[in-house]
Amino acid sequence: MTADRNKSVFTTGEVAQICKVSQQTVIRCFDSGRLKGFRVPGSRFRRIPREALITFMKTNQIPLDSLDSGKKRVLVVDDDEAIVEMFSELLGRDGRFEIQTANTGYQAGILTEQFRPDVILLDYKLPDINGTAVCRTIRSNANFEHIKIIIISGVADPDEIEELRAVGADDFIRKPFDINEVIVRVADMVSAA
Amino acid sequence: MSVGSVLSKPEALRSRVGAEIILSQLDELPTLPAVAARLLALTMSDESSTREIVQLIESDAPLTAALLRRARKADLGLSAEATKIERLVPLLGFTEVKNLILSLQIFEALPKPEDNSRAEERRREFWKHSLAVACTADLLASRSRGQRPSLKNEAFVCGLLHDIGKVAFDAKLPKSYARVADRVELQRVCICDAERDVFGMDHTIAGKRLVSRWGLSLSIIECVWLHHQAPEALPTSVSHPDLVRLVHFADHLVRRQGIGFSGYGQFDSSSEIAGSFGLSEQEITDVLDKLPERMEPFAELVGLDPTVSRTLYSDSLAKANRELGVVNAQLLGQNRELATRCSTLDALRRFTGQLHANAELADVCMAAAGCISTVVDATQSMSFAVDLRTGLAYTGMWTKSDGHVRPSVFELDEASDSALIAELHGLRTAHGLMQARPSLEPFWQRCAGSASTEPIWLVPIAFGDDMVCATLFVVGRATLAQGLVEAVEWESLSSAMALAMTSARVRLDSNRLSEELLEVNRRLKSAEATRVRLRSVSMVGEMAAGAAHEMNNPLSVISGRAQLLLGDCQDEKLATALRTIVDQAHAASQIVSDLMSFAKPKPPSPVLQSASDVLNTLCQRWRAELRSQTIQIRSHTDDHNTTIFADPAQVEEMIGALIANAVEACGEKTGHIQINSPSRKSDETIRIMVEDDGVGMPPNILEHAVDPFFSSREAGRKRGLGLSRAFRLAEINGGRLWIESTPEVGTKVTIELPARAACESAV
Repeated sequence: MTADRNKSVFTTGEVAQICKVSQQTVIRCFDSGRLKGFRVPGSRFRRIPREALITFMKTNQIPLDSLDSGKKRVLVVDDDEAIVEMFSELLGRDGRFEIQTANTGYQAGILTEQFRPDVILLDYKLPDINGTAVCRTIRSNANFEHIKIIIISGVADPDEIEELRAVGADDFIRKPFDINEVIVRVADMVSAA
Repeated sequence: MSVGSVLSKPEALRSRVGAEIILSQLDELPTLPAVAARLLALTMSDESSTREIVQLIESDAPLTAALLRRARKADLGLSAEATKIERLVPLLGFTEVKNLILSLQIFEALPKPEDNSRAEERRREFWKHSLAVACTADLLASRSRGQRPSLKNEAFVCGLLHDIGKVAFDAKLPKSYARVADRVELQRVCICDAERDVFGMDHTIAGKRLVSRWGLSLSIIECVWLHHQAPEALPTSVSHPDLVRLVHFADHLVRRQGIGFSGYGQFDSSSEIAGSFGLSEQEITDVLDKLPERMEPFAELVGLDPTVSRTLYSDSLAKANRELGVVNAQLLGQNRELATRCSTLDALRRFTGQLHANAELADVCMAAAGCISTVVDATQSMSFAVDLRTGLAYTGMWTKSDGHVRPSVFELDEASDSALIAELHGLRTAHGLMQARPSLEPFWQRCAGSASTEPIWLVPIAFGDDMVCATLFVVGRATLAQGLVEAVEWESLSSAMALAMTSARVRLDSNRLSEELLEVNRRLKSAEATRVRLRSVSMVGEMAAGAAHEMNNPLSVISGRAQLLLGDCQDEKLATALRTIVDQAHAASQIVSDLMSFAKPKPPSPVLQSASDVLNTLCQRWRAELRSQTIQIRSHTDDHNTTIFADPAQVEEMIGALIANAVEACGEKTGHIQINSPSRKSDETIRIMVEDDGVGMPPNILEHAVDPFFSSREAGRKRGLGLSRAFRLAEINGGRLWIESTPEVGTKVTIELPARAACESAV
């Protein structure tokens, strides 16, 4: 069985599989405190959160490849369903990306936590919250510092772009756009991540 | 003129009260001496005998002595032994003796004013007049025909007493009566009017009161009371109209002769009255001839000048002459005064005639200068009005030699004209004719063109605090100060001129106000138009920003989907169509962006830069771009130090838009574009002109040249945002843009921008 590498909490067995070590080794590391985690209340089953696993793998120089699907995760956030669909299709056809979508800032926040995207394609104007606030929230969490944010907007006011960069946006794409350009930009961001 | 007629009501009331008080004071006068009273009673009853009269006189020893002494002295034809009254009475006749005694006693009865030579003189004059009237009445009565006999008996007494009221006033109230006499003398008013003014009543009323109290006969009372009444105006109830008329006539004749003092009154035609007594003009003349002789014994008796008979006539004539002289002098004076007033009025009439309803200060000054010149026969005259707030001087200068009057308006300089301005301030409170001070001479010289060798005269025309007006003039004669002062009614002239100046000034102020109001209104309208335009521009901005968001999403989908389809497309025709879709979607998006950047341009970041550098760079770039075309671009700046203080990118965009516009105006044909920046060293602004010799614009297009999306080109070919954007950018950089254009000749667009940082910043 292949572990669902997108899970946020792993069993000792799954961690052994991902790290390509024995389960006994994982348990020993867990018990000695080198691999952070918790026990399921009312039982002795050990559980390891995704962040703790990544930290453990990085500390022990275990390649993270096996944790990923191999595809880069892209979160598309736009209140316009047609735009969202188009991006899904565009990026999906490329094959290198795993895509999830959100229509509001709130959804974007939840999915950032769960999906742990590598890149967020963020519409500047959302119905509940604007791009600046989304950028600032993501950047305030150290766990998300690797996430690249590309703002997509119909208005390209240089001052606004400057402001977005200041709060943590990595790139800016103006609507309407050249689809090839979008792919190139996203890929560039991913490789930099 | 009756002074009393101008009394106000309360004053009239006061006079009546005063009159009652005066009458009660007259009552305090002593009663008639016993002998006189008895004599009068005897006369009246006419039943007396000579014996009775003699006894009566002799009962009063001092009277007897005085009578005899004076009778002798007066040489009444008595012999030396005629020392007894009983001899005197038959000799002179009863009536004559009675008259003598009455003459002696009646006036003595009233107290003489205290030691006062004027009062003494007055008393003597009253006496003289009364005696003259008595004698005249007596002479007239003796000559009259068809009258009752008693007339002759009573004529003398009635004449003697007719003015007793005057004596009574004078005895009781000498100081007040002196005022009456003075007024009569100075103002030539009727004595009755003067008396009424001072006492509230005249001497006829006072006299009537006195003789009534003395118990004298009705004939005397009537004569005293009514002797001033015109005979034809006598009431029918009068018991002795013939006596009253007689006394009136005698009074009239004596006054005409000017004997004694009786005040002034109108002289009626005497021939009519004379006729009523059956007397001819000749007889009247006879009476008057006899009068001195007739008066003499009485005058002697009462101690009047014994030479009266000899000198009376000459004295009277001399006095009449003197009075005539006085009257004449007064008339001459009045005449001169009237002539002065007349000429002043005439000048004023011409002055006002020259003023029209809309006369301005300069017009009034010209009219005033002309007016003064005619009044004083000036060789040159000048009127001015100086507004002390603004220092503006309005003047009119009249020159006799050419008869022309010239207006001028100029501004006084606070520094160089300080002495003049100080002098003008001083004139605000000055009055009347004066000689102009030297500090006014430069003012005169400025208007006249040359200094005056003669003294300059000045008449201030004062009104208001912040305006000073005056008339200056020069007359040919060197000295005439006093003559001029008297020759003109300066007060009337200057007040009439002040009035005209004031109204011109008010008109000027109101004109100024309405012009200012008009200007304010115009600015308000223009500000309103700008406000409306800016508001609509900002609305367009808001709308465009919204539209950019709203439209870019569908445009992105259209473009994106087309691109996706294009990726799979094998059909070249379809692929072309898909590419068109993509391009047009992007073009549509650009329109929205342009509109937004027009309405909400980026705030400028002004930088000081060299105008010539900017223009040269731009020209080079455009020349490179137009290399293949037939259009030549030249630029020229007068001064290489000229600077522009504006956002460099926006300046480039503005001028670029203008060049693009010019290039387009030249079209396919050969064209020339000239970019000039003339030197305007002293200015805070720089102007850049982009001129072409292209097709130009007709007015209807020029009017909308800077409206967004307005284009003279065929609709749909290309939207026209270039000029509107340049206009907007000039505006936000604190400048402005305007266009002049003539069809088939060319277009000139001027941008004015701040040249320095000190300039007002962007809108």
